[in-house]
Amino acid sequence: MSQFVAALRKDLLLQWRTRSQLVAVFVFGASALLLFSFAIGPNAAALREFAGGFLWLALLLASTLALADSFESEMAQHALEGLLLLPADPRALYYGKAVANLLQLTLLGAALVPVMVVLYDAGTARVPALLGIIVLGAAGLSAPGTLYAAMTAQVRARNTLLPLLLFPLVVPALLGAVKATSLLILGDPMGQLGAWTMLLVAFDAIYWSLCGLVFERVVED
Amino acid sequence: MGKGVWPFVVAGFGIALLVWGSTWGLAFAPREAYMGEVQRIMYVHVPTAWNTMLVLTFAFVCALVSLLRGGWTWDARLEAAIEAGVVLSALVCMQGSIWARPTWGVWWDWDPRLTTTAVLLFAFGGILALRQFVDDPVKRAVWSSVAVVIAYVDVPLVYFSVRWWNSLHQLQSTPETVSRAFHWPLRINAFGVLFLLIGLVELRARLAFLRREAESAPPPVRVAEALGGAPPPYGGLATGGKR
Amino acid sequence: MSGAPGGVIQGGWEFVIAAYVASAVILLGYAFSVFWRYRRARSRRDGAR
Repeated sequence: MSQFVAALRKDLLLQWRTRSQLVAVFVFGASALLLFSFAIGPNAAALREFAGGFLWLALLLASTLALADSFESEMAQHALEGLLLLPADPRALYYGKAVANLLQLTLLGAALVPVMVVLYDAGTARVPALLGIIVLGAAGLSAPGTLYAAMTAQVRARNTLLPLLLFPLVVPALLGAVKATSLLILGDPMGQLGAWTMLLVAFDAIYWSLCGLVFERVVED
Repeated sequence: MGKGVWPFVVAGFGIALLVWGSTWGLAFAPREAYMGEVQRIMYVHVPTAWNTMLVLTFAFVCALVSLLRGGWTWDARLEAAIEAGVVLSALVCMQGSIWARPTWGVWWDWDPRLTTTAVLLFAFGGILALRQFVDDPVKRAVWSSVAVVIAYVDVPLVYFSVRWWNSLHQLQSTPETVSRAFHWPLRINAFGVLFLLIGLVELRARLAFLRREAESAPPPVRVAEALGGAPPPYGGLATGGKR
Repeated sequence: MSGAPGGVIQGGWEFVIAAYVASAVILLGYAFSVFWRYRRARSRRDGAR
């Protein structure tokens, strides 16, 4: 447990030191939101209807940058091998990195919400619920994302491979997050929010356990 | 890795079955009540869909065995199964699209099974790309096995999420139940694709195994001679250990 | 060409033929691709020995 905390502290410290990169990723996400709105045009009703989808698309695209960045420092000067030589459980390393990525993606998502509210006129009164969905969706992205980032950081064409591998995989989480967000924005007359939340929880539970299990094989030499 | 000609025989038998089943389905099976001739597409679509799931399940098994036991044979079979799975799922999407057009007037009807197959196509296609970009054979084997396990576990999740997402729009899905008179061409074609696949996956696995051998083979003795003069005192693998 | 319940789809042979031809092309094409690549790899290995 203490290994996990130590790994988490290391990754949070890394993220704090490279926070300018996070700002750049946020700007990327915000401009993506802006560009998506041009696909719809100045149609207020349509913009509101699709705001949830575009928020998560923007977050998904931004996550590929953030996740790839998270392993950049590990690859420099063979830091990853150094970490693995320590008598530490690789799973602690994985969960430390994955939780740090989760926090970063949640922060990104929360920061993109005001952009969505302004551009798409898509606010919601149920702010804690929206935050909960952002955490669950970000968790769905960061568990497999951290695993695949560890893989692709070690090969060429990494910037293409990471989204190529990640995007089909996270379809259930994306669907769940988009539907849940849209229901929060547009209203939920039939009470479907619970079902989509359960889907997100199931996806997160499965992948947070599975990816932790296999991480050791992925980084061993 | 095997050496016999049995894959060719099995694959040939599969093709023969496909010709028989398809001819039956095209020319001799009765017309369906509502869908007319278009129903006949099911005789190739359903067998292909069944075999896609079968070969991807086989890929999952190969991945597990490869991770737990290692060895290049299972990695070779994994590569073959992934490639066959990609080809078949692409075919399923194509057939489903051709079926949807006259039936629903659109090229894609977001049927949950078809949409899941499309996601699988991209997922396993990505794993094939991963194998291309990893040079270290051991890492390639471990990583693609992990990726296959992760992608396969995702299949029920993708299916249910798309089904719930689709149910809000009340679209009809591709019919699954086929009435009695139509069973035989379906079964024949299903076995036809299955046997063809068994032969092709075996051949493709042998190909993967050969490439893997070639990756790590020492240079042929002739090269050493050309560079230095005399051949090395040991025979080396290339000459089978003999001088 | 409506698929609504109670209606009947007329014709549609061109779609049936398209589906069968696409299936044949892809299955046989893949079979030949595997066969040729395998033969090439075999001859390369046998030539190197």
